[in-house]
This record gives sequence, structure tokens and C-alpha cells, in this order.
Amino acid sequence: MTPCRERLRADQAALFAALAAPQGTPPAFVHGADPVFWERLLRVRHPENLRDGLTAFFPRFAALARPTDAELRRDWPAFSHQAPAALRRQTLLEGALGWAAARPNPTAWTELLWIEEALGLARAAAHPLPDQIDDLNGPLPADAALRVQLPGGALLWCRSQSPELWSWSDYDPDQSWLSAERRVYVTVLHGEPALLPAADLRALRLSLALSAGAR
Amino acid sequence: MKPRLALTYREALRWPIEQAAARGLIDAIEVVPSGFLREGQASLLRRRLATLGLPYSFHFIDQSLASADLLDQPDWSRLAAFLAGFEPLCWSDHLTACRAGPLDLEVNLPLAATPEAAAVYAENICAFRAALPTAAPFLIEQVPTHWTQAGDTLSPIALFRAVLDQSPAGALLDLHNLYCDEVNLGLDAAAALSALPPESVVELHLAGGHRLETGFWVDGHDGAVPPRVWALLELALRRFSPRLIVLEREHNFTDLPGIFADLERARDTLP
Repeated sequence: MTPCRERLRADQAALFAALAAPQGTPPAFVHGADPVFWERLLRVRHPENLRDGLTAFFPRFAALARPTDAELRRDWPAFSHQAPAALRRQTLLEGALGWAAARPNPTAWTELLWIEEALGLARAAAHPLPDQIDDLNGPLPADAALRVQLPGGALLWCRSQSPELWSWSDYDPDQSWLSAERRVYVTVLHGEPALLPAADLRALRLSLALSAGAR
Repeated sequence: MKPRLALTYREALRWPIEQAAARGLIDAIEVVPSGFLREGQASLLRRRLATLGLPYSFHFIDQSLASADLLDQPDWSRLAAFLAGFEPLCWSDHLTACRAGPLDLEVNLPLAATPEAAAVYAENICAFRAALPTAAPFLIEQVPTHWTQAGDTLSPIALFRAVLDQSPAGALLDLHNLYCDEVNLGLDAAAALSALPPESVVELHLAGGHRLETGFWVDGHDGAVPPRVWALLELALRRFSPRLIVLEREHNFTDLPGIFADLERARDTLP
């Protein structure tokens, strides 16, 4: 190994160790790191920071117990198969946030982004594209993990991006969520275009504002 | 040859992508295939791409080509098997170290910038490319410079150039990343364009971002393309002949008309 590669290896290890620590500070050889951006990197990296950030925006979230995998297996399918119309919007948000925060790795953050994107599409659907929203219609698949009726009638449908691989029995929190294919996303399926109250969207965006830059 | 214009693909965005294609705003997509490397996933992606019917490029995010330990025990067999089943226009990853040992931070980080470090990164890419001899060109993208490191002697674009000169990779030049460096470090983005050989740039990226309360500009892929990036695109198209231009929009889809307007402007800027 060349001396330069050896030095790079040491420096990269030090930098990564700093970012892997919940309260990590930039190593001395790092110059000019923006403090807010650095903080964002830490928040995205660490579930405990993520939870703190979310709690600030969703006070009731603080009261939610971190579910165990067994509880997730038990409760989330039940949640998804209840009559969608009976589910309140707040339940959706808290369920999604609690679910994401319970994930053992930061990939969970992406799941919130998917939800945000779907809400964005729902908002876009309220603009003059009513004929095109029909393109999103389709039969609900048998493996749908979550259907939620939003106020106004829009139906949000959450499922695995890879339905042929999805099942609760093979759920492995240490591996499955590392794959983008296993990330849950949300698609607006059909119904009247509906908007979540702006305050909720703002709250989601504020929480998303904690995230670091895209790749 | 006129470059193709593409949007970043996600299955959840199939409808906007199809709309953009139907309006003649895009004629390709860029796929981030890292989630499709697991066994059985390639066929799923093939089916999805077949139904879209658009040419595609692959943009990987996880090879960490500048990791100092990359060559310790490289195993690119899964990636090789995956690539064998596709015919992308080109494929790419970032000039970054997002992994050290077993720790994958899943974020692009700036690199030490010296000639000696550039040689290490180039050595990595040479080994990577030798193990994956695809017909499609392989490109590397320069990432935003969130910070610098003690001992740096090269500017970000000079580091990029040095690695390109020593490796078999072409350049994926992200104009928004240049803009980030201009805002955050005061580096002249237009001058950076002149630092690259005209024949080296195969692909361009466009994107928008957002500003932190500190003034720091984040490459968020979440907003409209800034005016300065449009100006850089015009300059870039005078110097380079890219095969592909990609609008990276990965968050905040509330403004679909705005996204389509960005695509229209990009299309109208093409030579």
C-alpha cells in the first residue's frame, strides 16, 4: 500500500467515525464544514436524532412507544386492512412516522420522502390535470400493505415496490430495508383529488428539511 | 449529434415520466439501479424499462470508488452479472468515498484533493473498469465540495480532471454541483468548465437545491433549476458535446408544471 493510500485510509476512517457518532464533530483536518449541514448529516445518520427531530414537529409522536418487530408484524398489517375510511389522517402520519423511526437504519428516512412525494403528486392532482390522474387508476393488488382514504376521497396506497418479494414473513430489519426495492412508496391511485391541510404538508416538509442533500 | 434529454426514473414517477415523454420533453431516463442488484431484481427492472420503452442510462450511488480500502477485497461479480443483462446508453457513479470499511454513510462526501490522492482514486477506477469491461461508456461525476481538507493542493475541478486523465472513465459533469461550489466556496463555475477537455464530457446533470439558514446551498434535487445553472448549461453546450442531459428531480413533486417547464427550457437550449 502506498503511503498516500495509507494516509487516505486513516483520514477516511476518522471522518467516518466522526459522522458515525451521534454528536460527532468534524475532524481537525476538515476545513469549512457548514455547521448546519454537518448537523443534518448527523441527524440523517442516527435514528435517535431523527426521532428528536420528528418529535419537535409532531408532539404526539413522542408518546409513541418504539414498536418491536413482533408488534410491527402484528399491528401494521391489521392497520392496513382495516376499513380505510375509518383511518384518520393523523393516524396515517403518526403510523408512517412511527414505522419509519422504528427502522434500524437511516434508510427509513427515505420512506418518509416517498410519502412526501406521493403527497406532492396528490397536490399536483388538484391542479388542472384531472383527465391524467385517471392514468394512475388501477386495481388494488392483493398484497397492498396499506390503503388510506384521505379527506376528500383520494386513496393512498402503500406497498412494496417489489410485490413479488414482499411478505411479512420474510421481513428482516437488518437487510431488507437496505434495498431500495424494499422501500415502501405511496402512489395516488384514484378518487377525487384531495389535499392534506397545508399545515400537515408544512410539518412534513419541516421534518424533511432535516435531511441532507440528495445523492 | 443532439443530446438526449432525460429525467431521473423512479417507479412512483412513472406517470410524470410518461407525460414528459408524450409531450416530447424527454427521450430517455436515468435509472439509479442500486436497489436492483439483488438476485431476481434485474428481471423486474427489465420489465419496467420495457414497458416504459425509453432508452436509459444507469447512475449508481454506492460503489464508493474513492474509498482508500476499495481494492482490499473487491467483489464486483453481482454488479457484473447485473450489467450483463442491460444495454444502457452509459453508466456512472460518483467520485466520492461514501464507505469506509463496513460503514456505508450513503452520502457523497468530498475527497482529499492532492495529486497523490488523485492517483489513488484513478487506480481504483482502473481496477473497477478492468473488472467490468462493458461496451457502454463508464462515467464519473464530481460531487459538491461540502468542505475542504488540510493539505489540499488541487481545486475540486482540478482533482476531477486529474482523475479523468489517469483513468478510463468519461466525465459526468453535474452543473448544479459546480453551482454549489460557486455559492459555498466562491469557486468560478464557468472557469471550471474550461478546465475539462471538450471530448471528456459525455453527460451533464441539471438540478435544483435549497439554501440553509447559514447560506449554505444544498444539492437537494428538490427545486427548480437556478438561473445560474441555466447559464452554465449554455456555456457547457458551447464547449462539450454530451450524449445525455439529465434533469435530476428526486423530491418535492408538488410543482409538476414547473418540472415540465424546466424540461422545456432544457430542450429549447439544446443545439
